[in-house]
Amino acid sequence: MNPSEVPAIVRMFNIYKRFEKMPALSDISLEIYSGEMVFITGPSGAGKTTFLKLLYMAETATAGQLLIGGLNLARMKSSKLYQLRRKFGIIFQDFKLIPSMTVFENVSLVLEAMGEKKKLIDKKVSKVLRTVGIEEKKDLYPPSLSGGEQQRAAVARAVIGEPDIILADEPTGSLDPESAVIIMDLLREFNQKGTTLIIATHSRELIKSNRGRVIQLNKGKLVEEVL
Amino acid sequence: MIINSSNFKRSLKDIKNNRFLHSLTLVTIMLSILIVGTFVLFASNAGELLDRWKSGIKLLVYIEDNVSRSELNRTRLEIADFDEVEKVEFVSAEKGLKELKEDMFRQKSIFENLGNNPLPDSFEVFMKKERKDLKTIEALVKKIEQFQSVSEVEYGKEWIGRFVKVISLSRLAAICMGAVFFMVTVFIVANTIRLALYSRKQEIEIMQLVGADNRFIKSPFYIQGLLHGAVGGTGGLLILFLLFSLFSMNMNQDLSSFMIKIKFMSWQAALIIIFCSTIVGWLGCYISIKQFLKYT
Repeated sequence: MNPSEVPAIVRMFNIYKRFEKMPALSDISLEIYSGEMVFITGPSGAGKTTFLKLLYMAETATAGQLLIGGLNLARMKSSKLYQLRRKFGIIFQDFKLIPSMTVFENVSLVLEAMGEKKKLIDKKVSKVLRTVGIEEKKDLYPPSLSGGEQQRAAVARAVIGEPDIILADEPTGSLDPESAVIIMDLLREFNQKGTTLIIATHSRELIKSNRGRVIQLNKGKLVEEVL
Repeated sequence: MIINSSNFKRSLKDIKNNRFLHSLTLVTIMLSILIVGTFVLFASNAGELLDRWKSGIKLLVYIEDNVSRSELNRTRLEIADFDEVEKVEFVSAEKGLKELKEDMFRQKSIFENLGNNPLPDSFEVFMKKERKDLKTIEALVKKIEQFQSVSEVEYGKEWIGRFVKVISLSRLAAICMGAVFFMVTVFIVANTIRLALYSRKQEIEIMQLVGADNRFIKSPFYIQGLLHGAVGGTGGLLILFLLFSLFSMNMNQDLSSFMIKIKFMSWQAALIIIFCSTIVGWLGCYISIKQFLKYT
């Protein structure tokens, strides 16, 4: 990807994050461009999840400046946080599906929160569930689904709002190889349509089998960036 | 707050999932409304009774024996000249006895062995409607008692005083009970919503992560608060009405000889109570949501 042609959607300037006195991220400066596929990798405790959490403001940086799609996160009011979060589709390591809601309700929640009409919601949700291959499971509750099916539901929820960026934290970590391939194929498909994809993973196979930029972290520091 | 079918469904679903908690809140609101409503009923009926009594108030001025006609006429004209007085009617001893017999026709045996008429001549003094407060009555009585031809003025001073005090006290009690139950109910609704919020903490956090704004998250809880208040208030009033219907049937029979009929509150008053109860539900919700979202 040529930086001069595509605008940067994420811009980090000297980002630091400390938890009490423990540094989680130190002096991270980088740019991620619109439509890119980026892998954040490193061993456990390297700061991968913290890196993602800073992007969607589940955590705030101790120092430094972070811009997402032109929004300066340091100036973001908590009451306007939803504006930032709507730029993202997030796939959590533990899926974070609401157990008391059906698959359909979990996915439609994003559009309902955006104030979409019921008719459009029904149409879009059915389509996306068909795309991820769990349309027949739409009336089931998450606890009755397999890990792979829950991950697909999480993918459906992440893409339903047509976000600018998909953040995925270990998207294949708890899946069998077959389900992992299906999930990655789906994510790649959305990336090819222009959605920026940022994946935190420690899986070398996942990185090898996909063409994307690799940002390697170790003990909270950026140690290598491979294009 | 957005009241739409989706938020309404989400509220009802939560009520269904936490039936016990929500039922407890509803019962508490109903009981509060029942107690406050009882005081309102008592105060409104007592107030109406006092108004009715006031409109019919008259002073009975008993005349000394052996007062001449001209003296009697002079006294009558002078009393009629007072500002507070609407009109003065003379009631002869004979007429007085006749009226008494008519009023007490059920106890006519009392009059059978009566020798001479024990009643003196009297005046019935009717006061102007706008001058019927206790102080004016007392002042007028003092003025009338100054006449030499007058032996006694009767107007049920102690009874009026006590009655006015009871009404004032019941009104004060209704206001105080209203204030206390307002606070208690706000507190209980706030606690219920707080418990509901904490039981759905994870769900709310997920909603925030997927881009739901506070309005979307808060709306179902506000709907729940409003429902608690409106349904609890209406339920409380319905129970009060049923209890009132049961008791008033017997009471109205007993009170009919006094020309008194107790009534249920007006529909306007009932609407005001339901509105206040709904506001209480909303307020309880507002307090707990504000606190909760501050810490999430």
